[in-house]
Amino acid sequence: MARSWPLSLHLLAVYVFLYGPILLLMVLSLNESGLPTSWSGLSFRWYEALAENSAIQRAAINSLIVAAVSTVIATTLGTLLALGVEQRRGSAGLDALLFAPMIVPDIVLAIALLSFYYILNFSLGLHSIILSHVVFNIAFACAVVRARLKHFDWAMIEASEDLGAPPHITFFRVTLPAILPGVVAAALLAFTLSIDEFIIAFFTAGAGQASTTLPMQVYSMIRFGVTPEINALATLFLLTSFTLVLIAQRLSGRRGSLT
Amino acid sequence: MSALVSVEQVVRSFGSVTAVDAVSLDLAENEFFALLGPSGCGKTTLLRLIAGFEQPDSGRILIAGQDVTQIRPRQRPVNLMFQSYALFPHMTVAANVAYGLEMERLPKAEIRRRVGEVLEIAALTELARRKPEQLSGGQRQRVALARALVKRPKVLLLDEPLAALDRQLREQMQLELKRLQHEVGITFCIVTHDQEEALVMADRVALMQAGRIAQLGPPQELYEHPATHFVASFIGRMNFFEGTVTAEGLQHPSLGLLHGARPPDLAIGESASLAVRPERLALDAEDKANRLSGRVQEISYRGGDLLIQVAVQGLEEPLTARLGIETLSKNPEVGAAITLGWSADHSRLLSNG
Repeated sequence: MARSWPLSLHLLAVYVFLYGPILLLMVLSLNESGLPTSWSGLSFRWYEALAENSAIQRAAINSLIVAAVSTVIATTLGTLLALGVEQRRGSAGLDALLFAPMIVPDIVLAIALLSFYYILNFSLGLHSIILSHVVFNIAFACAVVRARLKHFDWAMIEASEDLGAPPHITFFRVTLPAILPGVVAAALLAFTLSIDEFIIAFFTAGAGQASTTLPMQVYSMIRFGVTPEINALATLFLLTSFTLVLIAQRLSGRRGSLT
Repeated sequence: MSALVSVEQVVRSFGSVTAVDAVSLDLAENEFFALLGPSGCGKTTLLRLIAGFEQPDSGRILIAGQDVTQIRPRQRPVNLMFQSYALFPHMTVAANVAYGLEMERLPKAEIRRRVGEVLEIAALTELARRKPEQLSGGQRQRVALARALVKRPKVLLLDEPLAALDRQLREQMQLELKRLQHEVGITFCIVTHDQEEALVMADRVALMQAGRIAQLGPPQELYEHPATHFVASFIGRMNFFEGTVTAEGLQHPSLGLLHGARPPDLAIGESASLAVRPERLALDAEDKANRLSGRVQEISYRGGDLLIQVAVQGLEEPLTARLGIETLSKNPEVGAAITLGWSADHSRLLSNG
């Protein structure tokens, strides 16, 4: 089956459009001169500069804290929510309410959360960012786990009870392992969404450097132009995400297709 | 015969639908029992009531003399084999089978020994390390069976265990299940909508209709002496004639008197049906009490016998007869005139109520 050449050309153009800028960024991060216009040799000096920039490091640590904590909370609550909703055959209205946080524009959610915290007299900082990220991530985690549950045989839960297992043993030995690929996928999605989230974090961070996340830090640096350091940072980010995705694929591959 | 399981006046409703309506029955030690009926007759609900996954609205259930009505499924000495098999996909065959024994906190060595034994019986030893997704339908069915049997329940409940298998495998597994039940000596209670399956396997059959037991007894009794019109039509093929009861049988509006013994519950003059099995009809039987003539409409060859449809004047439905090849001097032909007869002993008079 020969593919027609206009189609191949189209495919190539799409890939270049998608990955060209990213490749360029990775190459530039290794450029000795740091200038986008001239190549002056391979160098890791911008990675070294990155390692010495304490503001970026602190922002990176903040982002990791926010992403990790909000992922754990959102995935746990989202998974339990998905189990509950799928078991009870919910209504269309209930479904809509579950999807809403995914559709509401970030800016609206950001303002709403800020007003909410203000009314409650809730202090702002990393904890308020975490809480805000949990809000939208529950919806995403729940949606991913629910997709997995469409193929879940609920008779397994009864079979486990029939064989003598109390409910908590059934959850940890039957239900959770059977839906684990879905839960891992939900956690990875939540982590990815959280770690580069800007608008909501920016609104709910409060004043001061202490609760600056990585995207906020990059934003403040980029106002003076794109520095080679940021290219290096972006490259590291990219490699980390690729690794995470690879791990996720390996995990779900080993678990097999549990239909 | 002391009852191993006693279901006493059990009622279970879902909203306005009464799925199980004041049913009472006993399961004996070491018997193969079948709950048979069309879909929606309440047979699966009854099975789940015995397993403990449904609570009766009223009535009680006893297992080995103990009232288990309020006892959770995991504490009842019964195990259920699910229609979907409900195998745990992330565990190997051996781990699936060991699961129930691990829940009993038995010593590791004993678990290994008992799992080995059951895998041997179910011919699964070679497949012990496989995952369910690597097994065929028939193998999965055996794993589900082994997983339930390893618990040594007093009663094994099976919900449509053969429904997911193809026809050939199903017939083979019917005999296999029966052999297994003999071998392990455990009472089996199977739910099925397939009357042939129930007749082949069960020692006793309860045919259910709309939440009640229409008839309970050995397969031959249900087949030869159906208690109601429903039982007669659900099990096997049957020819029916509608009319009014007389002292000698049934008065048919257009065929006249058909001979048959009147059961005591039918009063003379009452409207009723007379039923006769296709294999009880014989060709040119001059000595038979009942004789009907008609024209052959259709013939289907079925190996050892012929199934022929005969159009009879005054009957809406054609008469069905099953004729053994060895009884025929020459095969009947479509369109030919034919006379079929049966003796009064083979007529069954049934109330239309």
